[in-house]
Amino acid sequence: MSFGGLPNKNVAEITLIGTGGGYGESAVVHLGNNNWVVIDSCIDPTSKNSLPLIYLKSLGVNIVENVKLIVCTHWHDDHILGLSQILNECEAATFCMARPNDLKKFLQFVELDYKKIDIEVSNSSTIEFRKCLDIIKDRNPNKRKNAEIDKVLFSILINDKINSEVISLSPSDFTMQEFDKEISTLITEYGPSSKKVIPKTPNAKSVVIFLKMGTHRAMLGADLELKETNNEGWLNILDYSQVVEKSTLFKISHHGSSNGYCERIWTELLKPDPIAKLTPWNKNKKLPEVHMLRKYAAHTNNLFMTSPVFNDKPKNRDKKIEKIIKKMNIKIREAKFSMGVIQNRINIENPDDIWNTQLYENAFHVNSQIA
Amino acid sequence: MASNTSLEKKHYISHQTADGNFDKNRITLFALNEEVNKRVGEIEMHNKFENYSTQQNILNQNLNKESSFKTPVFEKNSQHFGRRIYFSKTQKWVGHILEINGDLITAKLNDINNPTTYEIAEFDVDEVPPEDRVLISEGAGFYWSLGQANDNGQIEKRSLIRFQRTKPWEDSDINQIVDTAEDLYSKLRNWE
Repeated sequence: MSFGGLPNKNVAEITLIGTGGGYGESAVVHLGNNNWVVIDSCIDPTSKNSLPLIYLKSLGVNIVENVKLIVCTHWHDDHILGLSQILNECEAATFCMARPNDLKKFLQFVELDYKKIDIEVSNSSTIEFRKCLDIIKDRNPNKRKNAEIDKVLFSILINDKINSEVISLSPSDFTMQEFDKEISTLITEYGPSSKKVIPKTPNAKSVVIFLKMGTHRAMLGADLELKETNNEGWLNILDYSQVVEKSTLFKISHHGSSNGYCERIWTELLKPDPIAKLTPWNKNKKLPEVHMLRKYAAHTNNLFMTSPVFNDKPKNRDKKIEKIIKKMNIKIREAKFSMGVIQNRINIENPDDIWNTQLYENAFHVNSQIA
Repeated sequence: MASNTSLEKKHYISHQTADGNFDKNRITLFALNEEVNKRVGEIEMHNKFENYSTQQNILNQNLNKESSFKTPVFEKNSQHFGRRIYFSKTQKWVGHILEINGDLITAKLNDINNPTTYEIAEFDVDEVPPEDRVLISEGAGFYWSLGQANDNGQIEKRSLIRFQRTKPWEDSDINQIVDTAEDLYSKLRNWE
C-alpha cells in the first residue's frame, strides 16, 4: 500500500485508520520535524499486524527513533489491539494512558483477567494491555505519563517561533475516582475463572487529545460520551478546560453515536466547516446511524468516514454449513474487515493553509453520499 | 502440580506449557472427558449385552469363566449393532456472551476452523442444553459445534453448545496473581 510518502518537516499530518468497525481505529500524527505520535491501535484480523505500524513503515518513518508518544485512549478492543507491537518497536516513545488512582488494585484486576489466558477466557484487550505493561515496566520511568484534564503530554519546538503540543483534555478527576470503585465491581463480577470481562464504561475514561501545530488546532475525541453532569464527559471539557481552543479538524467521538454528540462541541470547540472524520462500529450495535450522519453533515461539508461496511451475512464457508446455519433459528453475521485511511496534511508555518485530504482504500466523503 | 492421580499423570506430557509447567485446567478437563468417555463406553457395552442376554438367555451363565462365555451375536436390525453416527461437515466456534435480552443471547464467535474475522450471533436460549442454562451469563464462554450428522444413512443437522466449566481459583492461583501484580506495581508506581 502507498500513502504518499513522508510529509515535509514543516507539514503536520493527522491520519485516521479504520477497519470497518470490528478491529479498531487508530490515529497517526506528525507534529513536524519527524516527531510522530500514535494514538490507539487496530489490527488486520488475518495477519494480526498493527495497522498504524504498517502505515508508518510504508511512509518510511524511522520507527525506533521518531515515534515520540503512544497514547492508549482506553482499553477497549477497538482501540488497543496491536498496541504492544507498536510499543515494542518504538523504543523512544513515551507511553500514555489514564492511570487509575488505585494503581495496585487495577494491576490486580489486569493480572486476574490475564491469568485466564491459560483457559482461553482472558479478554483480548486485557491481554494486549498486560503486554504493554510488561514492556514499559522495564523502561525509563520518565517514559510513561498519566493523561488527565489539560495536561501537556508532549511538546516540541519546530523552529524559533513555532512549537507543537499534545495535550490531554480528559478524563476528569471525578471519572477516575469512580473508576477506582468500578475496579472492585469488575473483580467481583468477572473474577470467576470462567467469565470473560465485558467492560461497561471505559468510554468515560477516554483520553481526548488536543493538538497544537503552529497556529493550527485539532481535537481527537476518542470514545468520550456526553454525561448528564459536567463533572465528566464532554461537559467537563466544555465547562472546565482552560487550554482548549477552536479546532479546524475533529475526530468525531464514539463512532458518531448519539451519546457522543453535543451541539456545544460544534459551536464552542470547533471552527465553522471543520474537517470531521470518524470510523464505524460494527459489533452488537452498528454505528453511526444514518440520522446521526445527517446531523454531523449539517455541521460541516467535510465529513469523512473510513469505510461504509455494515454486514448482515455470516462468513463465506462450505455451502452445506451455510445451509444449516440458514435453516436453524440463529442469526450470524461477520464483522467484516474493511480498511480505510483518511489522511490530512497542513503546512505548520503557514497560518492560512487549509487541510489537504487524501482518501485511501475504502474511505469516503460522507456528504456526497447522503445528500 | 499438586494433584497426583494416574489420569492426570497420563496427560502431563501433552499439557506441558512452554515454561515447563502443567496446565491444570486442561489436565482436569481432559481427565474428566476421559472418564465420561469410559462411562459412555461401559453403558454402550451394557446395552449390547442386555440386548444379547434377552435374546440368548445367558443371564444364568457364569460370565467370570471365559470358556463358558458365548460371543454375542447381534441381530441385523438391532438398534445398537452396526449403528454409525458421524459428522460429514462441522463448523466449530469458541464464543462468549456479550448481551442477554430476555431469551435472546448475543454472542461473539471466533471460528476455530478459520480464525480470521469474528462473527456476532443471536440465538435463543433454547439452543443451549437445559443442563448448561444455569451457566448462561454475560461474559460466559462456550464452544459451539454445528454440523451435518449421518445417523445410519439418515442425514440431519446437529447443533451443540457447551459452556465452559472451569475449576474455581485456588489459593495458590490468587497468591500468584497478587504477587505478580505487586511486582508490576513496584516497577510502575512512578507513573506521573
